[in-house]
Amino acid sequence: MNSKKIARVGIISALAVVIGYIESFFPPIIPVAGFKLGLSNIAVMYAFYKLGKREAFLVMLVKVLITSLWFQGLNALIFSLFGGVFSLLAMVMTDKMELSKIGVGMAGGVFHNVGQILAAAIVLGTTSAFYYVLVLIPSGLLTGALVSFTTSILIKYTKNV
Amino acid sequence: MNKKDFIFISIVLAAVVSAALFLRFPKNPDTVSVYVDGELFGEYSLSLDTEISVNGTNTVKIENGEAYMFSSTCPDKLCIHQGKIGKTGKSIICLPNRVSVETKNSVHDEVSR
Repeated sequence: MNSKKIARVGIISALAVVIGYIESFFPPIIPVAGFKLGLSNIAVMYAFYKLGKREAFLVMLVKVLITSLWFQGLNALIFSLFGGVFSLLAMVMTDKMELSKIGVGMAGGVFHNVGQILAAAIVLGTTSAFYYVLVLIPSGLLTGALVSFTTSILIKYTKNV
Repeated sequence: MNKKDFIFISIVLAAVVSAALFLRFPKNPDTVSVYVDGELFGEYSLSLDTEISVNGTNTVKIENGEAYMFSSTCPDKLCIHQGKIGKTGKSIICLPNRVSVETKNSVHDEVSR
C-alpha cells in the first residue's frame, strides 16, 4: 500500500475511534445489553466504498483495537472483534451479491450483532444469549440502515478523502 | 435500495421468526439458575424470597416469584437495568462479571450448555 493510501486509512481510522468515543456518551436507546447505534461504522463503510475492502478491514481493526484496549477491557475486545469481523464479512458478501449500500449496511448491522451474540455464548458458556437475537437482529437491520444511509450521503457529497 | 435488499431483509426476518418458534421458552419457570463463568453457581426456587451473593461481585434478589440483579460491581450496571425475570423474561446477564441468571422449570428444562 502506498503512503497516500496509508495516510487515508489512518485518517479514517482516527475518525472511527473518535466517533465511537463520542457515541459512548449517548444513553442507550434500547435497554438491552450492548446496544449501540454503531456510528463508527460510518467510517468503516466510507472506507469500504471509497478506498476498498482491505482498507475498510484495517479501519475496523484499528477501531476495535484502540477502543477496546484503550478505553475498555479485554472482554470488550472479543465482542468488538467478533462483531467487526462478522459485519465486514457480511458486507463483502452482500456487496458481491450486488445489494445496494443500504442492503450492505443492514447486513453489516445484523451480522455485527450475530457475531457479538456468538461471542457472548462462547464467553458465558451458555446458549441463553441466543434469546437476544429476537431484539438484536431487527435492530441490526435498523441501525445498519441508518449507518449506510448516512454513509451514502457522505459519499455523494464529499470529494475524495 | 434494490430488489436484492428486500430479499435479504425477508430472509433475515424469516430466520428470526423461525428462531423464535424453534427456541423453547421455559414453561412455568419455578427455578432460577445462576451461572458464573459458565459453571453452575447455584439454583434457587422462585417461590422463596431470598438474597443471593454471587461470587462476591453481584447480588441477585428473589422477591414475589421474580428474580433481579440487585447490585453489581460492574461499571455499566446494564444487568441491573435488565429488569425482573420469572414468568416474564428469561435471563439477566452481567457480561463484565460473567454472571448469568436464567429461569427454568426444575422438571421440564435442561438448560442447554
